[in-house]
Amino acid sequence: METLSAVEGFWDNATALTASADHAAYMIHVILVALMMTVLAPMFYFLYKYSAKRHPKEKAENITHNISLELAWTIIPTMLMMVIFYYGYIVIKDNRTMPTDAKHIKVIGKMWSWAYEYPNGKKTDKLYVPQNENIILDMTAPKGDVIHAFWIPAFRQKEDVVPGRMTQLWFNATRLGEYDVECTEYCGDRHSYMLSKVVVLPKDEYYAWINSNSAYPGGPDTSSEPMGKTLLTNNGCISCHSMGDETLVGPGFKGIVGRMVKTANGEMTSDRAYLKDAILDPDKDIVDGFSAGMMPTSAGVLSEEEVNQIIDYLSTNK
Amino acid sequence: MGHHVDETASFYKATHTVFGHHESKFLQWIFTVDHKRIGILYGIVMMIFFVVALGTAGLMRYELMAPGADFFTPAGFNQAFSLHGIIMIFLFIVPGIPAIFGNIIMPLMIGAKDVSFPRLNLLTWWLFLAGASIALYSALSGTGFADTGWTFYAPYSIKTDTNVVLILFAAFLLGMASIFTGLNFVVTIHRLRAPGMGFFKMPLFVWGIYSTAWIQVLATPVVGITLLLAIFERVFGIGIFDPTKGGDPILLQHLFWIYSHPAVYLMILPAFGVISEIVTTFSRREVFGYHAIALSSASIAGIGYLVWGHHLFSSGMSETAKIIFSFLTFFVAIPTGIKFYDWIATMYKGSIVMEAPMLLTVLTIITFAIGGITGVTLAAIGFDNQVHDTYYVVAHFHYVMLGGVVFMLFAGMFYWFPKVTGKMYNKLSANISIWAVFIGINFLWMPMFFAGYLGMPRRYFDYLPEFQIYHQIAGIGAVLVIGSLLMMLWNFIRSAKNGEECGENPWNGTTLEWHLPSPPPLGNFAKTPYVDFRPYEFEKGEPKVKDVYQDTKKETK
Repeated sequence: METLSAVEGFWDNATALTASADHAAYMIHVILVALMMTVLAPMFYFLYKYSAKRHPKEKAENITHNISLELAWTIIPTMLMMVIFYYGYIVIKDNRTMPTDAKHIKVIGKMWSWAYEYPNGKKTDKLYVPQNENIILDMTAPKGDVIHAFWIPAFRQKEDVVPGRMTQLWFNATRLGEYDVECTEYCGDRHSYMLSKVVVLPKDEYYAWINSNSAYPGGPDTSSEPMGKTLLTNNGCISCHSMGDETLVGPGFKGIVGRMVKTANGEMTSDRAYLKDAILDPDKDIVDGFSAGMMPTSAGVLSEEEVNQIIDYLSTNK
Repeated sequence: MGHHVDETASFYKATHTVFGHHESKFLQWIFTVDHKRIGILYGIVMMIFFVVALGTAGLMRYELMAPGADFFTPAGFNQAFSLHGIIMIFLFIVPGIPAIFGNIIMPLMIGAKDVSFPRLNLLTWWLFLAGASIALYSALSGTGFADTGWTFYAPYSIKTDTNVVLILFAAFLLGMASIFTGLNFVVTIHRLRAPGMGFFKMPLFVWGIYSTAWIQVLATPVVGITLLLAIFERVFGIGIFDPTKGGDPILLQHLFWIYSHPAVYLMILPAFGVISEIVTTFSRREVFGYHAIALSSASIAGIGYLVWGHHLFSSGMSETAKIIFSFLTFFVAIPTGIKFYDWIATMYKGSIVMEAPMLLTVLTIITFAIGGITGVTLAAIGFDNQVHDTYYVVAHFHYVMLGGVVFMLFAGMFYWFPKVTGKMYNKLSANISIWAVFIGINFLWMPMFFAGYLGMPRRYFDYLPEFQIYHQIAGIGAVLVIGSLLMMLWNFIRSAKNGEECGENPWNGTTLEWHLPSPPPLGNFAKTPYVDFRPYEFEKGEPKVKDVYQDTKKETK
């Protein structure tokens, strides 16, 4: 099985629960394939033995009942079903019993990017976690957004991310490495690009980074970097907007401050006030060629100061 | 009325219409109140939509042969899978076997002249046509077909600017058509059974249709209301599903699946009914466990109402609710398993004839078993946690829907085609297409079980390069499946014209429809038969009761 092509890190036994989840999956399938063979094996045999060629119609017998057989194929499968229920139950029990000594990290899913926020306020676009520690993800989506689902296939873990609600998911990553994150609840045009990574770091490396000024582990000190740039990355803006003039989902950022745009309400200047609206109330004056409902509002996500920092940074991107 | 219609003439030659007599053959068809003609009308419209949805699926598989954009834009792809799902579910599989064979065959099987409400039956077909037309119109106008998937989950279905309201309304009309069909069939089965035919003398296909009809009547209104609420949410912003207005998007999922889970049994129960008919006829002996098969249909229909929550295992629902829904779901497997064992036991000491209907049924038992056991794995909450919303679910769903319902719809077509047209299909072409579709389905969906567990989510326009191999194998399967299904349809079209005459009872069937001429006369039975025999009485591999039609004809003369 382990030669099968899969997402990064799938076979690495990446968390404390991976092996038991795989074992339960294996047992469930073994039991059910065996049960299926109790139907198919006799069928193949009868199709051969009682084909009209070997068993002419004069010999056909009308057997309509056999109480003991009928009881057997009711009771035995019922018992097997309870065994399978048990295998489903023990895995979910481990998966869904949140540890009490865990570190909490916030996950925000929005069209179409993942953002992570650590207890000290640091934000990233990949999820960095320390090895061998219980981590609880507190997940939500902005109220005006849609439902997503956060899946780490290598951890055998998934939970929906629902606007206006908080859901949770926990793990204890035992192996260093990078693991794929995918959105599994259909969320629109860039659903299949709503990807991210979990990066499991050695504890000392993780804590050195989390208390540093680097945007990501091993990265340069970003305290001197414009805040606007960090905000664009960490809030997922650049998964739909390029820094150049290429259109991804939304318009490219090159020269966005000060240019003229055509909207349903006429031509206007993409100035500070316009851009502020575009960030906080995106459907107000949509540039021709783009649709309403595509961009989530950042009202309540970004502070006034942060919005200003973003526009400051964009005005340097000519 | 005044105009005399010869009820002993073939139903192709004479018909009753809702507005008296028409000279035009076309008007005679679209205003007919004859259950057999209405069944054929359904069949034609459904097959046209089936081909459209099949073609859409082919284009999606083509897009997915390699990572990156090849044919569609992401938005186009999302509209394509929504169109595929909505057409296949609401216009093909839900009306499915009941609309075609429930209409054509069920009244014949119980010795009735028609359904209880023939004019309501015609109105139902017109409603179906109206729903279908609106669905089609929504694809061709304005912002184009909805891109919500067939599940219409909020808040996405509230936010997207595609034609969601139109398709919701179309689905609402189709739901109404479904309710009327169910109502008509429940009343027909209760009121129009031939004298002597108690409930436990009905053929098992009628039992399947009966259980289905109750689901149609009792569950469909829930989805009707849900669709209306979604329309109101979009048009008036009533704030029931929209979290920005204090609504709850998960509520839509609950309401949707309260209908749509029983609906999957509504799709499969008639197919089980067809299996019971075909296995018995081609084993040339009495069915094993008649009561168990009949009552298991009813209990599947009943338990099916209590398990919808398993579609929401990852939605953040409470752990207690998950455990209860998981536990209950396993109990659907028991009556389903009993049916399978009864069919296999029916083959025991039979004299099995491998004509096309039987071949396709046997292969369906294999594919449905695969779909069935993988359905059981999904009921196990822990395993579902990994594969929920992945290709594993897509594969499971298509094994039961294509490899169960659609296969049995086509097996039913092979089985009853001679009865309905009086002609035999081309047997060689039938056997080739049946083997090809069986090989195809396994190429197409077996790899997806693995891809899903290993990290391939569903509804992805693009994917990580690791998954290309699975998509390529699936692509080969798609060519085989699409090609062979079209080959079957072509076989039916050709043979309806050029097939050999097949006579009254080519399969040595025992149920009442096989006592009628092929094609049946307009009035079905010359005189209502008295049914003092069980549905599947064989003696030395031959039907024990013979010539019911000829006997009743003699009496009337």
